[in-house]
Amino acid sequence: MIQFEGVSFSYPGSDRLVLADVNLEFNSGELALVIGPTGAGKSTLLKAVAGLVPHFTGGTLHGSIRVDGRRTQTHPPRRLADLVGYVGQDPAAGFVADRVEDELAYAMEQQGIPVTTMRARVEEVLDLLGIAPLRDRDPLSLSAGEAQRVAIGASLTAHPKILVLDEPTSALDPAAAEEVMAAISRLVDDLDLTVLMAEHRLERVIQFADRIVRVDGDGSVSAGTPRTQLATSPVAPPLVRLARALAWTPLPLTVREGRRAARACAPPPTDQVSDAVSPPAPNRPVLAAPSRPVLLEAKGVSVTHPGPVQALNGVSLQLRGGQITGLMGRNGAGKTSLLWALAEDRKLTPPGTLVLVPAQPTDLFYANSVAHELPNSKAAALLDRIAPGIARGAHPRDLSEGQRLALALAIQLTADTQVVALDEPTRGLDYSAKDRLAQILRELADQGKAVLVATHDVEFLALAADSIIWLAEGQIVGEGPAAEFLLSVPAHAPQIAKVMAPREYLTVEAALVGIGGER
Amino acid sequence: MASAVHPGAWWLWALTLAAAASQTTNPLLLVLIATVALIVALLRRQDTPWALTLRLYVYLAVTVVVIRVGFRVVFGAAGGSAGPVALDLPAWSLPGHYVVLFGPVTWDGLYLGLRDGLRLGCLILAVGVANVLASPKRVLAGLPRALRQVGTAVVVALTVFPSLALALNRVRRAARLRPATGSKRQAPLRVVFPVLADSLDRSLDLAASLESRGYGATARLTSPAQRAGRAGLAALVLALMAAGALAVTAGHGKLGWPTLALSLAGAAWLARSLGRDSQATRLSRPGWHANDWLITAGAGAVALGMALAAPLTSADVLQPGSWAWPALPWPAVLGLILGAACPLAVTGARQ
Repeated sequence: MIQFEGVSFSYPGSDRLVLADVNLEFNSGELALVIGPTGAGKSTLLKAVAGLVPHFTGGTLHGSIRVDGRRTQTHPPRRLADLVGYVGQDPAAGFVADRVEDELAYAMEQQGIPVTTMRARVEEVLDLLGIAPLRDRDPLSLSAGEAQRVAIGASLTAHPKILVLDEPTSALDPAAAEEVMAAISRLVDDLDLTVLMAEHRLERVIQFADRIVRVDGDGSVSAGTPRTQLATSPVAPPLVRLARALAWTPLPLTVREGRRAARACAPPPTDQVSDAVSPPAPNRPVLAAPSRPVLLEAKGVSVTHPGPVQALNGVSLQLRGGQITGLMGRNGAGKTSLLWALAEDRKLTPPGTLVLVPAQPTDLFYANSVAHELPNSKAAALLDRIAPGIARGAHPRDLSEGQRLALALAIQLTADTQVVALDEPTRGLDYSAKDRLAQILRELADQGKAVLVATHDVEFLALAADSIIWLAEGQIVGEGPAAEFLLSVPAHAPQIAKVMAPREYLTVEAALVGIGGER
Repeated sequence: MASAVHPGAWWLWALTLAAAASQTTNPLLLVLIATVALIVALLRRQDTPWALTLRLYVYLAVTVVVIRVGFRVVFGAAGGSAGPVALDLPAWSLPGHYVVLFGPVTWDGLYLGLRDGLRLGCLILAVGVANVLASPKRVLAGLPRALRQVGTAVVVALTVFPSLALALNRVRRAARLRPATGSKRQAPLRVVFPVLADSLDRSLDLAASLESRGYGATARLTSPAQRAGRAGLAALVLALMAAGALAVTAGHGKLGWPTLALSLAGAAWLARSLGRDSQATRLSRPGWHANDWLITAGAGAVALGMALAAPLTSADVLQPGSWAWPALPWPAVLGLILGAACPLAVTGARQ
């Protein structure tokens, strides 16, 4: 279906080969997962399949890419459109129509598909992705998760043979991500669709992958079965890291396989001894919360967006110094609204008391190079810590999604404020970058700051958060210690917790220490 | 909730207001037109992101009025209008004596500037109101097939201003998030640069999206000879149309009208034949219903009122001359009141 033969590519004005002599072949009906560190060239590989590289980005491409027999060098993206559906990293930027229905139909309209067929397919996709209530909405007014689903739907209606998705679940809450992935895997089964997908949160997608394509960042690209690729990949989900540390064979990829291996390795403790053996608290010592100073106290925060949509309805919360609070909730629950409301309420947070890392970091940038963007050497050091190897002369807008986020984090986190708020700070970051970010946040908290993190990434919260606030429909519906919260609901439990249940471990490190103790 | 009104109806209505504004320099009438446009826009706009850009069009219109009056002050002497002096500024002639800045500013001069500014402001406001009431993207849905490819380009161009406005809002909010560093003098640059960069990025993203979704891919390939023939035909039709219009306006109606009719028929045929080339289809084509007729009637009332204003009252009521309190022509006022009442009577446009 797709053949890469000796493909090399470099962006204009750069002599770094993003792809160097790549030879790959994808068969039809295959779901291939593209993995690699932040900024390694995953998006470039995907864009090359859709023809956007090099037709839209410029640059030098050697070798040949054939998509169902068509050479992408001679076929511009529009001549591949009937074959390839492409959803980029920022789906909202690609919306063309002003109603969801018309957006879904756009690609079909361009192909001249009869109206009755279009109707049927639009309805099918509305149901498939659970977006029927959105049909009359303006795509620009959708929340990130809704927009992602609409964009996937829009690329599906024209029934392409190949679907190319760049981080399709990064903006979705765990339940929505599962739904989208289930829908995609059903399409692979039903329509013999070939799917090429880049994703950082492997734990969400690994069970659907037939093959893994590793982009290592030095231009080399290799493909193989998930098990062989993950055995050595520097990018690996928590379960794989645990299994590698404990030398489990065969390497478990899914939670089910992991559980089996865990039982074989260390049988679950029986009831009588469980209290004695398993450590009482999963991750870290229980904080004497009340003794910490309250750094931010908001009462009755309400936000109404034009619509009118009631985004927040009388939310009250306290943030204490030294604590990392996770803010969770479905897509569109009001997490972003809450963060902005806190940041923009000058009475609550006078200038210099709260710093926010927004979900769209690019809006923060105004300089023409990374070097000019960094306010001081402290920020530069922080940037190298989160995402090493970003060229100082690069234009901030030319960075990859994850690198841009790392830059925004470096700029904002060096500000000396009492409260630090982060909106979805793990998008586009690989596992090791997330580990380092969690460490940095812990250091900030240890300096006495209060940290508030809004995210869908339960693995990150398992690493970083002390307590969780759960937001639903603009109201706080639950609050509690992170461990308790993440362990109580399977849908939001991190991989390690699911595998190691009934032991209460959240992270690889905790599990390794725990198992070591049992032995 | 989708609008119950055809987007074309809103554009027709708003553009009629623009046409009415272009016909007069009577400041009272212009203020009335602006008021009608604003009231209807405020009460009947949809809950779309575009609808929030109304404020920016108002700012732009006010800026235009201020600039026009300001021009009268700066180039006061150049206007050469007589009458009582409002502001006696020393004249300052630039080397060469061709350009004279400042000098005595007359009431008449200021008044002229104000009327000109109001007229231009009204035009801007009317186009803005059209944008707010119905996104130009929706108007595209009603276009004939042959015009759709061109229409997409026009729509992308028309949405530049609203998308700049949205980008400005976002970037200003984000700029406030950044810890203050550097000098205050750089602050405006820090907003302007990202807004422009963002708009450019966004238009490239949009273009990439259009491209990767097959925009323009199905136009049936035609031979160069065919294309040349069509271009020739189109030129002929355009020439006929221009000649007909000229003849009509010059008073040669007998010759002009048939020519114009012929050229229109030619244009329609051309559009159909071009439409057959594009195989693109359309999911939903909004229909023209009672509500749309009501709005059309409102637009008609405005047009009729403006047309009858001069004949039924005094001849110079639409272009009042000197510094005097202008009269309000009753047919135009009645037309504008009806023009506002009809769209406001439309139901279901806003929950």
